[in-house]
Amino acid sequence: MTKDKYCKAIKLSPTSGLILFILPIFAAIFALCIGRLGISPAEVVRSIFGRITGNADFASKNELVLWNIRMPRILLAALVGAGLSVSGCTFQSLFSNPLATPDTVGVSSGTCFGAAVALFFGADFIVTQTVAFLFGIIAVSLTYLAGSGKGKSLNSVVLAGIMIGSLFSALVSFIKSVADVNSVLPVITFWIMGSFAGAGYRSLSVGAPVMIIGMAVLYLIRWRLNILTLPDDEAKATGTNIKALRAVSVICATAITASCVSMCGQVGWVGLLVPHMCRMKFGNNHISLLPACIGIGMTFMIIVDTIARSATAAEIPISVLTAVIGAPFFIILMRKTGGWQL
Amino acid sequence: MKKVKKVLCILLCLVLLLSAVGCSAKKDDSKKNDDSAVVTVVDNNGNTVTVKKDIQRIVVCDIYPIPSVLAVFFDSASKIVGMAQPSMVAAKNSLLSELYPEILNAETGFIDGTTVNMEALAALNPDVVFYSSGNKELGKQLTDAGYAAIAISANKWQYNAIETLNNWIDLLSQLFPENNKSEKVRTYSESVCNMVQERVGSIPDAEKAKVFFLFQYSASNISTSGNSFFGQWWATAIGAKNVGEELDSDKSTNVNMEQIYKWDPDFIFITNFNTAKPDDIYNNTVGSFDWSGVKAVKDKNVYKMPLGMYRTYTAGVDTPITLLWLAKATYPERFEDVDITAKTKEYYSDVFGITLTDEQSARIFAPLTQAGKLSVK
Amino acid sequence: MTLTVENGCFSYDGRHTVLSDINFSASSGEILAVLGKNGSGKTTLLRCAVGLLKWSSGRSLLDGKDVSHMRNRELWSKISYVPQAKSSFGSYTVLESVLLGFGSSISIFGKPQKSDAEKAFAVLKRLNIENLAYKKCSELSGGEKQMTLIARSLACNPKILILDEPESNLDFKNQITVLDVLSKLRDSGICCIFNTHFPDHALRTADRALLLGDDGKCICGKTSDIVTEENIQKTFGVNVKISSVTSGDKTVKTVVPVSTV
Repeated sequence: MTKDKYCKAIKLSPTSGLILFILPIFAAIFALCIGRLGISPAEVVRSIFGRITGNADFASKNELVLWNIRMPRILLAALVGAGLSVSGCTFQSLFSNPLATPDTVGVSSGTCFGAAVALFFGADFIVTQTVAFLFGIIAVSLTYLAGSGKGKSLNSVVLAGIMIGSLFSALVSFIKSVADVNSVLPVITFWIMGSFAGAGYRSLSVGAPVMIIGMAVLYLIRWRLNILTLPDDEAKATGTNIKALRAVSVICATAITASCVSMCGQVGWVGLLVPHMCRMKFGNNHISLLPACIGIGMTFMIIVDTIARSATAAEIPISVLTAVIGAPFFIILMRKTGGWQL
Repeated sequence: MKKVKKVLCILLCLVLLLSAVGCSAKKDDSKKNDDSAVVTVVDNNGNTVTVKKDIQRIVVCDIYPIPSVLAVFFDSASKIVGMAQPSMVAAKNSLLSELYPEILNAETGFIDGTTVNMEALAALNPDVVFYSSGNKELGKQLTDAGYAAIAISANKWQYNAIETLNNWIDLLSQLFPENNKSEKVRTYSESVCNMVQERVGSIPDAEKAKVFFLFQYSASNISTSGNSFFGQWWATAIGAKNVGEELDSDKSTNVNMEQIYKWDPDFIFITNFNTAKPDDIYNNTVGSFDWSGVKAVKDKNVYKMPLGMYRTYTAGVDTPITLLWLAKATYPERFEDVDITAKTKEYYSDVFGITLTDEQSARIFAPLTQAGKLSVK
Repeated sequence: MTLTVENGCFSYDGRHTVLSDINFSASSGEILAVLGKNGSGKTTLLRCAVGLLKWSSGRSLLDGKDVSHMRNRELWSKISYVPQAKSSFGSYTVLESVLLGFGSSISIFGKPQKSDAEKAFAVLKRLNIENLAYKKCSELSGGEKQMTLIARSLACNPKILILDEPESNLDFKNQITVLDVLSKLRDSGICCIFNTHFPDHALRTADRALLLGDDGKCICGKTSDIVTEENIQKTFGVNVKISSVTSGDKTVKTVVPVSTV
């Protein structure tokens, strides 16, 4: 029997690993060369070397645009793309439900509500991020309290999550209705539609650490995540502390999502599209699936955001693009691979 | 069972009786209107509206500049009994409340955004209600409820602020013939327009200044004027170029920082629809936006638009002097002889009979940023 | 290794008793069959015995240590639980599914190594299903699924194997195959405890049997002593005849239902 076929079961194949590593880097460099200002690739390369050797002309407009505007935005897109994909993947495995997304536990709506409240009171960016994050955690805690406990199944958690999510969505609508049409409302709306326009190193430094830690933890326990899809008894019988595993997964996935939403608003679809696309190509074994989600998520988001900020003079809301670009891609892939099974 | 049926019958009769009384009561009111003296006008939506002659109580809904226009028009705000929050905030932070303190007594609770609480409105007992011409549902609601509802448009005249002001004054003059100021306003505003055009009309396209109107500004978004919003008109009127011209839109449009760098405007005008001041742009205090490489910032040509009786970006009574101020800010060398403060005093006293002190006049051009908030919070 | 249950009582809601006064033990190199009517609590008994459910009173002991006080990893490296194969299956490959059985031997942040994969493969070979190694679990037949689950449970070399109705949903041949596998495991020193609906299977394969009555009480002992016509009539309400059938050098005991009570 071909013993090297083992490898697929126990680790990511080196070729795949290389591709997943290189794709986002290429996407980032590619994105660095594209933008409204029209900086030629040669100049970009020169600038990169300039930065490395310290010879850059820091005052030039192009330098400023490249490194203070495009770069943080690319970094944010990459981080958010990876984060939402990983948390989407985790929620789907956790609930053995292909429709599970951060919304299924109410995290997105809770975070949005926190942001809306902060913006309504005119809070600054850092405060908004923090409040949004807190409400994300509150939402998932409420879902947990309502939906789990003695005698309740995983499906009751999903139901509770949808309920809590709807509650917070309704509250956000309420805030939108009392917010002022000309100043606060557009800010809330734009925030809730998702936008990377406000990307900057400062806001990254606030949200990124939590996301990176969350993703790192999930990456480290990625083999154990396979056990999440097993029924209760089987899972326990593998010797895993299934309660602890679920708790850790939920907390990490929630923290990642809340961080994402608090940095750039609600970016829809990524948490559903990317994990499923990855499952079709890489299977359900998280040893390969999780790194795939990270790599593909980063690449996807960088590409989509590049379009959002460069295609027209006006900013295109990111959630519109993720749906418009992602959905056809997804359908093509589904037809090619014959679909997927959780 | 029989008893229950009896009770139900009586209840039904009572209900029918009450509704009959209610309906007839309305009819009586409308009869009253037909008897007294009336004025008929055609509003900005083309509707013919009949209003009673002696108007004492005016409510302004979602057309925010109008209360300031009314106050100046009457040289008194005593007739204004209700207005929306954004109008009130502008009034509080501008000269309006100083000249007409009674304006602060107007009620603002009856309207939330664009939704009017009809009962609260009824409590104000208005003789006429002004609303935004784009809000046709509100118009229908008001007309159905029996109010004299007049639609006012801010964009009917291709965002030509001068024309808009002229037409507003025309309409008000028809409603209040004893305060007729049509002629005066039109003459003055057209003379300012012509004076500015004379001085800037000859500037060739390539030398026109590039201006950027910062309409909304927050940590997460920047918005400006597209090619058919007020910004476009202001730029053309002062012989400059609106960098947002390539945006095909008639409302404010979101743009990103890189696009602004591409345009690299020579001047940035911050409207009073946000709370930013020039220092915020010079020091990058909002969000993560870095303006330092933009030409307007490097040349220190970032200005906050004036706030006279209302936010000057849209049409309003301050429009003629705003035009002058914008022209002077953009082409100082061509308007060196123009003393804005003096001109302002002259405008208000000649056209509206209002006396401003030097200090008040100067303050118009150094507005409080608080006016950029549209709610009290 | 011996699994002992002492005075086990269980009730789901505190009012209706499902199991009461359960006492039995099973040791290495032994097969214990658990029989009882539908709803008598056979699955509950197994789950309580290994600690998946907590006894309302009484305890389970593994070599004298209370199961509820044992750490997960320690417990599940010694015992394995094989559920019924009809529950949902992730679409992992058979090999990946078997690798999940190594949970108790791999550290928290670890992954299976090549040696684990080789061990998994060896288990598949032992059960004669190594040709299924890369097939997706969702594409397996009932018998193959059950064998996969058994393979997974053998991954960490348990001393005691608990199986919940392993042959229930299988075809005729697969039923016998599974029972033969259990016999082979028993011969290699593993203790097997399994639920079954079929008294035949108990007589064929099990050394000892436990019969669960309606009242939640049980009787336990050598198969031939427990699986008797009298007991079957009392417990199942079916009149049966137990007879021996010889074919070649094989003698098999069989239970023939005659009529219901």
